[in-house]
Amino acid sequence: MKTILTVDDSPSIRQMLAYVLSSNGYHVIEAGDGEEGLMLAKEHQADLILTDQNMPKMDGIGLIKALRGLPAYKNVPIMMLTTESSPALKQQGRDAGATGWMVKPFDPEKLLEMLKKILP
Amino acid sequence: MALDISRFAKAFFEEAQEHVGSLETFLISVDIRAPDDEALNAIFRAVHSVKGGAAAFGHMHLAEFTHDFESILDRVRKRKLALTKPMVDVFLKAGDAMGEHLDALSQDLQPDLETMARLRQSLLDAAMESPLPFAAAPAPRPPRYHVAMQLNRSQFSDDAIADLKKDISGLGLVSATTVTMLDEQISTFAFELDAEIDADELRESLEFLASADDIEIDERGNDSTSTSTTEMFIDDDPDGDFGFFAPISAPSEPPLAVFSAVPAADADIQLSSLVDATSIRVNVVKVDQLINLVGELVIAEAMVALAVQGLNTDQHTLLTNGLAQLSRNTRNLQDAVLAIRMMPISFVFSRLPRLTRDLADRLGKEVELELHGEDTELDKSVIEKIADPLTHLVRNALDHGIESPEQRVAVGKPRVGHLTVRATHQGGNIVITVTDDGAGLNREKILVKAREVGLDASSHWQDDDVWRLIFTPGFSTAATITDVSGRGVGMDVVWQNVHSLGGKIDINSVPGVGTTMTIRLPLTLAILDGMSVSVSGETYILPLASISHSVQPLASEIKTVNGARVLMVRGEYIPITSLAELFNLPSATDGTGILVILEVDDMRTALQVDELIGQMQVVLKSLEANYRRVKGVSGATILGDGRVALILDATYLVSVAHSIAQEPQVAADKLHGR
Repeated sequence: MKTILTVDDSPSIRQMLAYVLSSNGYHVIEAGDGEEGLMLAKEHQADLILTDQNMPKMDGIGLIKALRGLPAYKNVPIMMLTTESSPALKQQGRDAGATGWMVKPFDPEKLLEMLKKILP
Repeated sequence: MALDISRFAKAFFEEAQEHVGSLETFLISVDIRAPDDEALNAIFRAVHSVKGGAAAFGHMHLAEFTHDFESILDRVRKRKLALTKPMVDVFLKAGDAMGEHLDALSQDLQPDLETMARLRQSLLDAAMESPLPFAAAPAPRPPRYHVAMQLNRSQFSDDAIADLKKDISGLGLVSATTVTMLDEQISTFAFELDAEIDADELRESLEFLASADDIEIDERGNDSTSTSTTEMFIDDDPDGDFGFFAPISAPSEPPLAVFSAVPAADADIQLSSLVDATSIRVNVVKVDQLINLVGELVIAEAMVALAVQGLNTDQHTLLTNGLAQLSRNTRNLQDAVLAIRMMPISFVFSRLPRLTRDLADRLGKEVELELHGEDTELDKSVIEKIADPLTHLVRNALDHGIESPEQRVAVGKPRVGHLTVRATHQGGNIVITVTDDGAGLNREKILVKAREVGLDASSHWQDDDVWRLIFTPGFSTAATITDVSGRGVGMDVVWQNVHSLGGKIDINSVPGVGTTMTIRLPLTLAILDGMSVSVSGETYILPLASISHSVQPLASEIKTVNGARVLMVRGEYIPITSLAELFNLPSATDGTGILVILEVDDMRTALQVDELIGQMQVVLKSLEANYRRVKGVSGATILGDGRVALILDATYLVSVAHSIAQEPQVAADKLHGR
């Protein structure tokens, strides 16, 4: 079973993600901000990370950079979930080492479609 | 499998309302002239979070509104837009609109889109009108540096990192700080810095913090996020909903290594960030159910205790010991369960800063509000019922109490009025005071007005009696009605609300110095300290708080005045009410029995009963919910033997006794609802 780490400061978004993902056979770990996300990523090896950008403590870009500094996460796909899809933010994400982006709000079906492309 | 995400909508509404609440709190407390970054970020994040959720759950009007709102707040927090008071006013209104919009959505109602559109325009206007101190002459962006420093073990404790962050924050705008542990001894501390210094200066500053060899500084040019250097991103989705930065061909490599052990220094961080998740949301119905069940348990326990009362304790040691333990545990359980419903009074207090601000503005007054004891806890149901009366008192203090700045200056007071709201625990009660340093109540005006509305008011009355006149229904009339205070709820309603909670309200006022209103309330409505009395074989409960004392009178102490019996105590006549007569019960005793002196708001009555049974803590059951409202009865409880006993409404009994003493027929009509 593939493990997905979701990082978002909104519990309702996390709940929704967890529901959509776990009902499709993924194991989900949730974190409320970048710092917690980093901590959980070290504890559990995730196969994919979905992270929000704007969060208290450590933001999404900070998390991506920190994760890319860890050998265990050099090649793990990390997707940014953002409400804004400005080129500037995408550029920042890319510089930080993100695999791709997904614009919130997203259709659950679309999320699954994206996952199928990225996770076998 | 169909994916229904609607069931998370409720969580979203609650969460979003919390954000709206904190938005208001932050907006009110922000120092407009010198806002700090943290406050501006918090304000931004509140709106941003609502936007995220609104978009995710498909509330597009709200998402668009919050998007515009957020963009303005983003400019404010980046100091491209100066905060002004009119701007904060619009922000507050925008917050209100978000709250109302959420309310409407959560109840499946049509939200008021017109207001939203209007406010959206006001937001944009406010942003346009604001002076642009930072953007007036677009300053060249400070260079951005990417800095990585190697830290040895002694430097990467939590405290050391926190100090380090503080130190570097003096250099410029710090972002994306990360700490990456390389091994047990060394970790890398990296951050991005926008600072108006050149790379050499930066290096010099940093050399105080780490050795020169361990610092890597990478200058990223003047604007790394400028769109000119931005590449085109190709969407991997026909709708543009997602995309990848590199072609996804083969599934990614399996991870190289799994982090096996977490270094010790990190372990502490984990613990501290886990402690946050200590509260859960529970439907209040479940809590009430629990309280009810515990109430039943208390009753059952009392029944068992009653049943074994006659047994010889020596022969049944185990039983009596076990029972004592059961009794103790039941009480503890009851206390613990009631504590679940306890909420800090900050739920009510939190609306006062906004109220004070808006009202003072409208009245042209300058007022400083001080809140104390916001953590004081009381039962949820009491909190809900005290909110309106308290708001009304604050409104009154602002409207009638505190004078205009000009008047204050004229009488030598500070220009800014002071309003203090304080909550404290005193015994089993909570005491809330509202104190203003205004003009105080005007004795003469109150007396004149009282006579105008036909009240029998004497100028020889004590202050306390005069002040109590303002609680008379219909008193707050004509001259005192403004669009602020005179809207429906008068002081009589405040008085009624407080009394229906089993509380009382006192006034202390000194002309020219100010007024203090003191509300005393029981902590909970679920249990009551009562005295059980028997009349004609029936058991009734009287609230202990209203009992002054009990007497077994001598015949000579009872007199008849105007056909009504009174008890003479130290030269004072107290009307006697016979409970048997009041409830049409056959009188079991021919004598006078026992007189229980009830005292409510300095009015007294002697209630005639057959016998005092004893003091007890009773679990309140609503009579209204299970039967119907009965005058003179405030509720019911179940006794140890399983019988139902009515809890009497002391306030009502005293007021009936006094009207009997004055006009027996009116009182009888009042009692029988004619």
